Amino acid sequence: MSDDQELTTDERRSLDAWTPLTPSPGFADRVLAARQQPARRRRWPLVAGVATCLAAAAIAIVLVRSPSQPSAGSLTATTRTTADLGARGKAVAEAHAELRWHIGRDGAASIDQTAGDVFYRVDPGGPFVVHTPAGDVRVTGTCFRIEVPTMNKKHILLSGTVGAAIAAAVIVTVYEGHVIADTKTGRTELVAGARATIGPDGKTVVDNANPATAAAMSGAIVDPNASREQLIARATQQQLEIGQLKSHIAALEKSGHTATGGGARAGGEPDDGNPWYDPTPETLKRWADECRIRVDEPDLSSFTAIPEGAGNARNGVKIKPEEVGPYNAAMIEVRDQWVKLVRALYIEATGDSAGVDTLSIEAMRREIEQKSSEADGVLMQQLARERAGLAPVPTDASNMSPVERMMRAYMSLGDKAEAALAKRLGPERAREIRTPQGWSSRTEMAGCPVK
Amino acid sequence: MLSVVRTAPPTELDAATLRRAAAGDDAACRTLVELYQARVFALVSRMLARRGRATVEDAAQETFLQVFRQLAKFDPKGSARLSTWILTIAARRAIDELRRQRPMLVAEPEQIELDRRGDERAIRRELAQAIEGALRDLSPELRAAFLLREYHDLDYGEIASSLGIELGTVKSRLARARAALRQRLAEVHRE
Repeated sequence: MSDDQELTTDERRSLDAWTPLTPSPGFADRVLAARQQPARRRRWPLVAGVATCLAAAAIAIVLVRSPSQPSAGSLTATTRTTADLGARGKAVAEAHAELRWHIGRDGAASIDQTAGDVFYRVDPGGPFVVHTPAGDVRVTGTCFRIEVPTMNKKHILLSGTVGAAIAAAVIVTVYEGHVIADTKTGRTELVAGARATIGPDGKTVVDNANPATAAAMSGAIVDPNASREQLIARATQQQLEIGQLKSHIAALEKSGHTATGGGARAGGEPDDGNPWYDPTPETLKRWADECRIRVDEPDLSSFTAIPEGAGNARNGVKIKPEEVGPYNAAMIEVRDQWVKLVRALYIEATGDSAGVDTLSIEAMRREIEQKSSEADGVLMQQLARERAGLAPVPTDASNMSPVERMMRAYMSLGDKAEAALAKRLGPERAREIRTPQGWSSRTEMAGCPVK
Repeated sequence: MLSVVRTAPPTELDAATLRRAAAGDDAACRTLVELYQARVFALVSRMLARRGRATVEDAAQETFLQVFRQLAKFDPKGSARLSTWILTIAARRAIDELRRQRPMLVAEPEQIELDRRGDERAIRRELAQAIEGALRDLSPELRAAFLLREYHDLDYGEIASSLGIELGTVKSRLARARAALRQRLAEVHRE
């Protein structure tokens, strides 16, 4: 090594080992869209976060947290899986769908859907663009579905991944609102009821089989000279499609997929009078039948310490300047315990001791879940029964799988955070900060074993 | 041996496109972003190492938004190249982010992938960690100065003026940073 000030050629070569991040697809689109957006007040509170399927077709999760956090994620669905796209809505991905998303602080949503069938429900709040192999789909407040045919894996490998993916057509179905199919051949506006195919060459062909339906659903005036028979046929068709849409939305809402915002409560279950995290015994018994549980925690994975000396709001509660130090200490204590446990369980489940230095906590959690050999819904059923007092709580954790120990620890995070805070600020203040709505990250899971 | 390709000297936006971008033309603005985004990401992601892609994306986006707000004031006939000017904005944006003292969050999947691809990848990973470690103890300004010098080929004068640091300070502190880096690299090569 040289003692000269400047780096030697070899040293400069070493610098290249530190690979930087590269812009994700659609970055320029997001910048340009944000450039045209006026500064926007963020709604508070709103629904955001990430909902994932815990390796079970019958399990649905609703996670509610502060909306002002940017969020990003990726998903390769092995079964129907719901993802919360930050504050911008939800995506219900069918098995084999693949998508990545990034929601910026300004609310701009950029989704890369490379394969599969995904239903989107979009909340207002800035640009929302889905990038597909055949073109982009831009949205303003709507429900729509995109189907990207999945190619045979072997075929993709033989013919080149990108080429094979682009060779597939993409189908867009619009349920509400408007979307724009933006491809290399031009832009096509699609209204509610429309179904369009975007070919590999970028050409967008709108299915005009039901133009009256499309026009009527988008509020347009249809042919005033239509005959009675035509009007009856049109009305019948509309009723049929509206019925299908209602069924679809009802099915989603039944699965706990409804976004809630602005109300005191969040999640798939109504208020039963008790705090969100501590339902009544009757509710818990009913949930035992549904294999349903709730978890609230102070969003420890993305916990940011409040700057010393400055009061701030957390969980919707004003933290006084003198409480900032104790608050931070309590959260850091619980977070560190949680991180330590997840790391240990990750190594136990995967044997990958190097990964703990590089993977995020969320990534390790997903890995642990994926390594789980528990049958779908069995753990959820057991935990729900324990909470309802219908099954004994085991005292020996030595025979439990990593995923079970992780789930049990996860379920206790809210109480642990409150206890850590109570040690420092007293139980009343700790309970006050937790609020009856629970900590900022609220998750509801439901799903019984598939018989 | 590691296979390393140094990047070619960066290109700059042509004067006509620059004028159109300053006037708010969408296509020209897009061209500007596409031309400079990789460099901005390279700087910002190294400045904000381990803070997650979302933070990096936000910082990069805010960099370009600031570029567009101030582009009309940029003098193409002045001493600074457009790339230097944009990187300066990116560096300052990243410095602001570092000063918020947010905790380190995650390693990126792209970096994680490197871990599992054999010995050469493992060596590169160790080198990357050594470099990152050497820079971690630097103040945000000096971290920016090091990155601008060693990864983006800015000269000392450009760095001093863009970051508001005395030229002599830039030189002396970068010398210290290089010494720290050499020590870390030597440790990697010894193992």
